[in-house]
Amino acid sequence: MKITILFFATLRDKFGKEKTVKLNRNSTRLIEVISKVDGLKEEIVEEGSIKKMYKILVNGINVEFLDKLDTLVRDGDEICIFPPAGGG
Amino acid sequence: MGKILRVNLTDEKLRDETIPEDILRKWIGGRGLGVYLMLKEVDPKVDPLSPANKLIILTGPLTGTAAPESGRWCSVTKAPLTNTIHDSQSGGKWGPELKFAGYDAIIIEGAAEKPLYLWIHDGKAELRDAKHLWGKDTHATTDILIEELGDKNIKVMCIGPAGENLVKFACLINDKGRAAGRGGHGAVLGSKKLKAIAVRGTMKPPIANEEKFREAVRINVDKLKKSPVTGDALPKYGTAVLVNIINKHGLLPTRNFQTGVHPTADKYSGETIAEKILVRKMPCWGCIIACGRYTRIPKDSPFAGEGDGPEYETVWAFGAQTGTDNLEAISKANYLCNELGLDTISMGHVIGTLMELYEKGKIPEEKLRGLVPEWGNPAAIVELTWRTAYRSGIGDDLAEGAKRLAEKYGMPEVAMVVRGQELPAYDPRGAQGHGLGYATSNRGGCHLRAYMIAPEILGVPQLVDRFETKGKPALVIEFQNGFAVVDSLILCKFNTFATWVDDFAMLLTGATGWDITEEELKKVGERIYNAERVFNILSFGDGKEYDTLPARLLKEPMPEGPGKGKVVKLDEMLPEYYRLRGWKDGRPTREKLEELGLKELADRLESEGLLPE
Repeated sequence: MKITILFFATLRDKFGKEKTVKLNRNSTRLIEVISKVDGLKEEIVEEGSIKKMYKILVNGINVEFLDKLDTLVRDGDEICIFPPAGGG
Repeated sequence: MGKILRVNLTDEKLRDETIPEDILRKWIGGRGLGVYLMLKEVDPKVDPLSPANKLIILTGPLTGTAAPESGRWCSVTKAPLTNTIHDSQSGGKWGPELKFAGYDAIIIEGAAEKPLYLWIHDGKAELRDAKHLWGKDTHATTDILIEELGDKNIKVMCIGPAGENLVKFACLINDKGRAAGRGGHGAVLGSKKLKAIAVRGTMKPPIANEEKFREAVRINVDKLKKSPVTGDALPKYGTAVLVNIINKHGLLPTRNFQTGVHPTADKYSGETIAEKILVRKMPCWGCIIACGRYTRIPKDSPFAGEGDGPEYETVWAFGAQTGTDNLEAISKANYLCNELGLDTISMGHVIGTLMELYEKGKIPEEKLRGLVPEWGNPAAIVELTWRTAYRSGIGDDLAEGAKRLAEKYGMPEVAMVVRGQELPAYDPRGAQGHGLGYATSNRGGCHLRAYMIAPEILGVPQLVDRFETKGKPALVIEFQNGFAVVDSLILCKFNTFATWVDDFAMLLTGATGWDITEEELKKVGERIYNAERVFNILSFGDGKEYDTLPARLLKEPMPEGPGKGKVVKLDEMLPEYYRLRGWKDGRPTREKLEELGLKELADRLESEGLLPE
């Protein structure tokens, strides 16, 4: 399966605008997809949880309201990762 | 705090006054003091563009001090766009300079026979002829005054042609690119023929307890620097860092709130602005965040220009709201708004309203003079901005705002407004609490009375489920009261990504010597919010009927994206909101008003049969 990860703001400096992760199964947990990108887990995960104010969306839904890092991700899903940010 | 300059433009007389300390403790300054003075001196039924309306310029007790992000000022008036009490906040450098020039506030009343400007310098004030400035844009006005008054450190706040032409969302521009944007304050000054206020000063604002204040500043600055929002993303990408966040959450209002997803929004995001057109950051006075942008579109572009911005709200208003993704055209429209003195949110929003009306065949060709206001037409957004400032052709209709425009052309339902003010850059079908904040905003469609996007999307201070209604009324009230305090001190709201009312109480205690607690300060915020509602009730019978949203947001499910199928469930939130506020059907009860020390307002409502039983 193929999963697209989109990066925003300061994360683009380290990871570019997007990365595609390919896996030989139909679905997997979010943490496994994250682990496939060099340096990404260290950037956004701390002590087994997503760092405060980082936002990970799967198809536009914040994974805090799904299964967090255990959220099931399927072929064609879009993952968006945002660092802490604000505006008005 | 408390030194007022009263300017009567009818008599051309100026007078110094003082506000008693007990009043200042009850209303603080800024928005709060402005609301108090408007209720005291202006009949809420007044025509906003008549000489009987007043416009009050205010700083707060923290303006121009070492308190972080204290470089702000505000304007309070009865707004021509909404007929509500209306405060409009601005940054830049002008506010502190007014303080240094020796005044905390200016009450502008009456109307001049011919154009004038006000010059204030180190405790002295005078009205001068502005015939040579009338008709000029804000940049030319600023340059001429600095040259004429002979000091490059003079700061200028002025109106542009839009204010002179009484455009209902004309704004006040200071430092060439900062705006007291919403509601049409520029039209109020235009109706009074006051073109500009130039200020220059060397007087330092007093601090009551230097040691306590310094410690409070240290604590506040430390929190701001440690926050990843204020210390990293905002300085690097500006407010437009929100474009992709909001779009990917599916609540970026697109083509007049017909959907919440704009597929090409990254083309005008903060990331793209930083990459393609950013010249430098533009901090306000005393700011350690520096979210402001100065950008340039190259000379070989048909949209060549440069200036402050564009901000998030602006790129949304000229971007997704009009179906455009051309960053150069969006930026050009932004620069024009600064030069002509137009609120970017309302301007872009109203163009979107026009585009929907055009799409539905409602606009006669002869009004357009060949212009094609189709979704995504970049040239149209620039031309319509010019036409609006000068009330030319269809521009004359746009100048009245989205509500009057949609009503005139027979489709009032496409006006996405609350209390007549155009909704900004968040579709509330994607954030229920934000919808409640919109509906109950005293100054009309506004995201900054209760910025519920912070908890519902950004996770500040904590992430809450944006599609849930439970618990939202209490949060909305906390924000509304807290932001009323922020607008009265006056501080930048970006402080609130790291600090809150308890931290502000420390700053205020040090600055004034009052020993004010968090609880007392929150009470001040509640008092301000209730007083504003009273002004509106006296003005046009505000209440439950007006605490609502356009039918599109209540009844038409979001058609696509992460929020697909959602509507705003206002009926689930409003009763709890009223209960917590101590209001009945959208109006404060006598009990609530007396609890807040506002017995006289309860008596006024009762005398007009407007007090709920």
